[in-house]
Amino acid sequence: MGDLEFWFIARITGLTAFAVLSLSVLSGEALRTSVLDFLAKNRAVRKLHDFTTPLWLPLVFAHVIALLFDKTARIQPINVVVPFVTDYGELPIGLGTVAFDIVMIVTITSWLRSKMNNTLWTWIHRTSYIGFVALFFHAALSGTDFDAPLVSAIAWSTAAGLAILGISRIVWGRLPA
Amino acid sequence: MPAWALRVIAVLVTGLSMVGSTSYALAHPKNANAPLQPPVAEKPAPEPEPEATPAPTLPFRTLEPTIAPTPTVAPKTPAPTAKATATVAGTVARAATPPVTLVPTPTRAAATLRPTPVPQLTLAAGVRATALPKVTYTHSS
Repeated sequence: MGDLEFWFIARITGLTAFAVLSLSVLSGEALRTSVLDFLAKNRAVRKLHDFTTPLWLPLVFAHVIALLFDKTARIQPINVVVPFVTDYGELPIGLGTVAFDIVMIVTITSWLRSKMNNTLWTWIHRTSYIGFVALFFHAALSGTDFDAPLVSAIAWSTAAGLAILGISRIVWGRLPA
Repeated sequence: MPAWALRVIAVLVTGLSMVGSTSYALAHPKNANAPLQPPVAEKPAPEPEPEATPAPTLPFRTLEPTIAPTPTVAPKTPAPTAKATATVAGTVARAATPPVTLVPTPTRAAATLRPTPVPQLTLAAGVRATALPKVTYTHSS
């Protein structure tokens, strides 16, 4: 398998992971707002939120591993964990590293939630908003396909919708049904 | 809507995103406007320049203008430039500007063979020609 195949895998899994992570954030926000009340009860939305993890996790890992094997991308293992140390594109790639670190911490702490202080877990889980912002700008600033009108329109509208929901949640609390 | 239905929708969204991403990426393998352009090639290390060797001092040689047949000048043929890589051995006339190169008569060919046609020169009476050591042209940049 050559660089071109790894490059295709990285792009495909990156785009798909963005879509599934958007769904994960949407279902998470829906637990605290009422945006999906017309669709299902909170218990079902919670199950959906949990179910998205095994969907996006392999995609994110495949994205990272494909870039590690792609010699043209020149991503080193340290770049997966430590942000802003690449020899090119420090900010766009570093934002991806920040997003990866945050979603990994959020996921691991969610698995360990029963052994954690609930307030601490809540605040850690809220950093997922920061992680999604970092993920979006990582995709927008470094994504090869994000200048395509179709991809860009879907990504920006998704991010805008999630941002509006998040800000509404912060300002008004749980939204009326 | 039950939870399993939401899961099915999530799987469908994931599958459709995967199919759409795959078809788009395969249809657009390269994007010249991609924001990240990692450098893909290192510049090769410059070759070390050959050390200059001192030119041997040769005695001047005078061509007699009465030697038959005499060389003729072909002015339309350009003289070899410094960018050409070639080893030139021969006799160079120093009588005219721009410099011209002597083409020997068949009887002198062994001393002044050249791979390409060169200007021919008719020496005026009293003009001296001299033999120079072998000169190796190397390209410069």
